[in-house]
Amino acid sequence: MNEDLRGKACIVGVAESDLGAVGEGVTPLDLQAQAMARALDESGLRKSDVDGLFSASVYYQMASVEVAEYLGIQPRYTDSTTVGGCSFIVHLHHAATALLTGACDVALILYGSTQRSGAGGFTTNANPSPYELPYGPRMPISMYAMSAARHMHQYGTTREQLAEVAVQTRAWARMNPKAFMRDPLTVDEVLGARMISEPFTLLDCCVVTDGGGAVIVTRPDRAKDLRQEPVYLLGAGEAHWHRHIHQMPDLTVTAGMDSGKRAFEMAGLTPKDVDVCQLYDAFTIFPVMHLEDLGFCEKGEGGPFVSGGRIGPGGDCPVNTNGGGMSYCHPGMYGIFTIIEATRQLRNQGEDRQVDGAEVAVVHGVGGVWSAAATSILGTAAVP
Amino acid sequence: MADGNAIQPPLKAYEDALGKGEIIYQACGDCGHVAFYPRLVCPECGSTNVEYRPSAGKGEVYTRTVVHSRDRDPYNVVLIDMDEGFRIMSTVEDAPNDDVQIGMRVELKTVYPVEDANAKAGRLPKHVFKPESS
Repeated sequence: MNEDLRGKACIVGVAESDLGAVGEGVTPLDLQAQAMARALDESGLRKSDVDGLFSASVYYQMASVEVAEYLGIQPRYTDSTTVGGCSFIVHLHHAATALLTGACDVALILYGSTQRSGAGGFTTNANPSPYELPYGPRMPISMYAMSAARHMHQYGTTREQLAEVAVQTRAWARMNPKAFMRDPLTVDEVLGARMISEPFTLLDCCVVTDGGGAVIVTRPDRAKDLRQEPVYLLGAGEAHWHRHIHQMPDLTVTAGMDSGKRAFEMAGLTPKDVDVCQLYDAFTIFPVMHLEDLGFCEKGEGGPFVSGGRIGPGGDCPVNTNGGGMSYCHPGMYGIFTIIEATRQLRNQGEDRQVDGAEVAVVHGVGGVWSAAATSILGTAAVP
Repeated sequence: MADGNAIQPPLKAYEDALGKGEIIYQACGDCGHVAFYPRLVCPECGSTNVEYRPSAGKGEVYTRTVVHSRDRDPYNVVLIDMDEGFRIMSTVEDAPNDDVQIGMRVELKTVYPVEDANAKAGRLPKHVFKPESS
């Protein structure tokens, strides 16, 4: 455990690119460039200040190298670690470590995807297992559906409780002008939607959009003269346990148990200290299991925990205040957007959806099929 | 070929066994750990002293889904906990999808060869299960 990392790096710039459907001919690199320009602009830093570059992609095998050429950046520290959708939360951890050792001074984390508008349709870096491919699971929906089915069997989690996740997340999205889906949504509509892979209907699944993001990280001394109130990285953890779903020992317990424990231990905080949660949500079962694995409730109690409006606007455990992958934006790898929204909440820039007095946020994601997990604890200067 | 190269591909061993209607799994000669899929090392202790064993082909459905697709009838996909202590993905035939539930006892029905239309994936043989006969 690297306790020395606590508070030694801070986020000083965040931005999304255009989101939703960006139009024909736009490339994932274009979106990363747009997001970078916006993040630099709000931070007060220049492109020439960036000397550490982090990116992950399903389009580019050498993700940081590819985007560096486009942007005209020649970094002295580079990292294309790709462990699925949570890669950018892993990058935040790695960036903080690199900043601490002086391997770089200003780290830029980038993502862009044209999953919705791009030629070639749905793009994925899924590498099907020869031990699974012949059975025709829909990747990755069926894998998570089997996890949800097991959770329902083992703990009595209900379809209605899962639907609650989609409904409350939509309620947040209705307050975010950038959200892709903003119409009201009911539990009955989720349950009655077209079945995709039992127990999931279409509305248990995230939206498919375009989108990109940028996050700029530096050391607190450098942050002092910049335009935004710094948001501090207080804890970080990562883990991976398996790659393919048939190798996952218990489909109701994720590697988030480890990444979360590591992050909270570094931060010296517990879930009771958290004001707002940004939890990767590709399917309705996600927040349920994340909240269990991170320690917000006991294993198996995630279904009752998310019910009754607890994770929605006005609830006592606000989750995915931007509308999440379920309703706001999901271009294939959602992780970077959890960091962006947590940062805005901690800067009190959440506008209509602002959680009053938010000082500590947890950012958490997974990659693959519950394969990898990464957690960050972020806080304002007010957190001791 | 360089002298000393001697890997017997584990995936080929699996496919060859399937071709004979058998599912093989791996047991470690050092620590006893049971694993699936076959590998060159024990994923528990790292030993290369591993052997492949044929499964009796019986187990219990650990979890399940039914895929609803526009271009074919709904079909089930299951994870099965085999009696020897390993888990595989497969499909249960000879039962309505709604009857294929967690906890159901199943046994190996057959293996569709690569050239069989049921194998679907086209280049891999496919084992399928059926409800265990009482």
